[in-house]
Amino acid sequence: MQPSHRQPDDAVLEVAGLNVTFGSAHGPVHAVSDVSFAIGRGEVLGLVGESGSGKSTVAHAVLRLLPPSARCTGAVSFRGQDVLALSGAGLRKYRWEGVSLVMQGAMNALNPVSTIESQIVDVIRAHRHVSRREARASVPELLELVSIDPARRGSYPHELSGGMRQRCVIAIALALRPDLVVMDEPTTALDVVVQRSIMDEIDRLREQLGFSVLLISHDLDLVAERASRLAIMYAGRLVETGPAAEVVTSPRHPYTEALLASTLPVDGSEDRVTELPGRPPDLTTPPAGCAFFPRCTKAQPGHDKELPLLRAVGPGHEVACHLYEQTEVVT
Amino acid sequence: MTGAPLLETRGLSKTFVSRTLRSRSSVRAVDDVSFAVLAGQAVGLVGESGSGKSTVARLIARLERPTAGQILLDGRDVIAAERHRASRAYRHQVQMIFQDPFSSLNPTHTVGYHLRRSVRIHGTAGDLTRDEAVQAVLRDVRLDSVPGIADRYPHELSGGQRQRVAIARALAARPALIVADEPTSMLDVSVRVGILNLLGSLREDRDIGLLLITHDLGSARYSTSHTLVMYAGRILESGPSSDLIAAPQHPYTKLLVGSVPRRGGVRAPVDEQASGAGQPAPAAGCPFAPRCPARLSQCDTVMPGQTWLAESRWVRCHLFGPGGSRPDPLQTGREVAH
Repeated sequence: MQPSHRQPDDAVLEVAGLNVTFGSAHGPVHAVSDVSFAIGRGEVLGLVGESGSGKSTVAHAVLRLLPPSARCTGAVSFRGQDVLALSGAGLRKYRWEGVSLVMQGAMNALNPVSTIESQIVDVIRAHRHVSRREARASVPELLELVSIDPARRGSYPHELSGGMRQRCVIAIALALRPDLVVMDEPTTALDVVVQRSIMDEIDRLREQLGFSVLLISHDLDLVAERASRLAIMYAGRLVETGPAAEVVTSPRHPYTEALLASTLPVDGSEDRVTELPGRPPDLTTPPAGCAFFPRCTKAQPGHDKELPLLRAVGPGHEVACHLYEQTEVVT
Repeated sequence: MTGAPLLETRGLSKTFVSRTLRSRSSVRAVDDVSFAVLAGQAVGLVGESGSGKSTVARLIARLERPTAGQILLDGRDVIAAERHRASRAYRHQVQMIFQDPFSSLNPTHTVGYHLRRSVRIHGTAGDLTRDEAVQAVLRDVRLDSVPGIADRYPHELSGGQRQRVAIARALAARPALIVADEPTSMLDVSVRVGILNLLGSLREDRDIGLLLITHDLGSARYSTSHTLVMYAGRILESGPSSDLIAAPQHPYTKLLVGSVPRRGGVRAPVDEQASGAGQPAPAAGCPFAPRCPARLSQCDTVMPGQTWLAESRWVRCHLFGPGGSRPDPLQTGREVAH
């Protein structure tokens, strides 16, 4: 796969200056701040962060799934369409026909009391004016697409293994042939062997059908293996974006470095890995300067005063870190 | 090896039976599992969900009663001695750490309460007051720098801090063996290493044995010297962690290691057939046979024995020696990991 080094020109999804704020008893929580990215046709963008980094909130904002209490500003544009302004029929068409979602924990994403077939039929009939029979006719093909024997169409979720359930969820996500599939930790609850086969399946389907993927996970190595570009989030902000291979082999942001260093590879030889001390800041009172400052080993005095902005450190590679402010910008 | 290992299991088995009015079915969750943990040694038990690894942990913690087999602590058969319920002495020596530090701590009690209770029950305060003993274990898990930690409730702590409290509670009993069941799988990547390092330093400094149950081969390689690979209730491969993960021998271990994402490397090819999880194991024979890319005719009918490949390295697979010959005469009648 040829990694795209620039922001794609033929962007399916463009997010610009996205901010999401939730109300809480302790005041507003700034869950997502000034997040911008674009996903090209057929591209996989990996959005990586730890719990509380805001990565799932970004996914929910893109799908317009945020609760009404959330304040969402900025721009989300899907093939030129203003997503944040959609309502009624337009929103219904955007969801699932434009962008679909694969969630973590396939058991919870499926209805335990109805069969796989009826759940696929439900999705199709909720969006298209077709008869139950017509909708049903497309079930075998969809199941075959995700390598499930169409004879299992009458099965209930509990009769299937975790991997098969996740394949069904993917089949449902692809039922209306969306241009973009948001996958929020699609394999986190699964064993590594099953995870591998599901990810291989997604790669194959993407090549066959040409959809784009926003792949969200805490597992940097898993995402780096599948995505062409990576976006690393910390405390609601993007701290580094760039070509996946480059970000994992020569990370620039100290947080990305720390994240890579704390993942324990099977083929490593380190005797001892040092932990990343501290914890992310409280987002009800976001720090004025770099949010990573208290945990950063390379922090200099003054880095906690001003917010570092994303700046280019290489072709298509941007990092938000004060350490790179003096370095010459490569374009 | 000098003297008896700290912990040894011999032919440990657990069959769960479920009965309804009309039917009776049973699952062999753990089947003939034998291994040993030495004092100050970390042994990893890896496998997928449903492989029985957590049941092994619960059997050793005496939360379940084995259907067959022995558990020896310092050479003493504890199942025979304490048939129905583990003695307080055993519970004092063997402590368990669970996966979810939220559900393993009582949300209505403070950190101090949890630790004082453990100090009191196990009588480990010695010359110290109980509060001093609590402070000491908080220091041991590097939580003493958190202001007012003893008066905090679990929900006020981060996941990593909660798991440290769970470790402190185990330490307050002054255990000889800690059984940790997926202690880091619910935690963020950046705090996992801290927990593993803490367990590692406790093991080194106090000679505590550690049985680390995990699905993560990276953690097993990093934190343990010896790894056991479990599948459908059976241990299929056993060896020094770095060897076993660098050069897996059993087809299942190969599949497991090959499925892990590699940083910037080329993905190892994985057999399509082998990836198909959830296939029922044959009643007799190797449980991995239905998925095995290298399946032989006898795999469906005969359970392979152990084949020793090197000192402390064995595999249970028909591809290695007919019927699994066991060249080491000292090992007859029992299977020890070392």
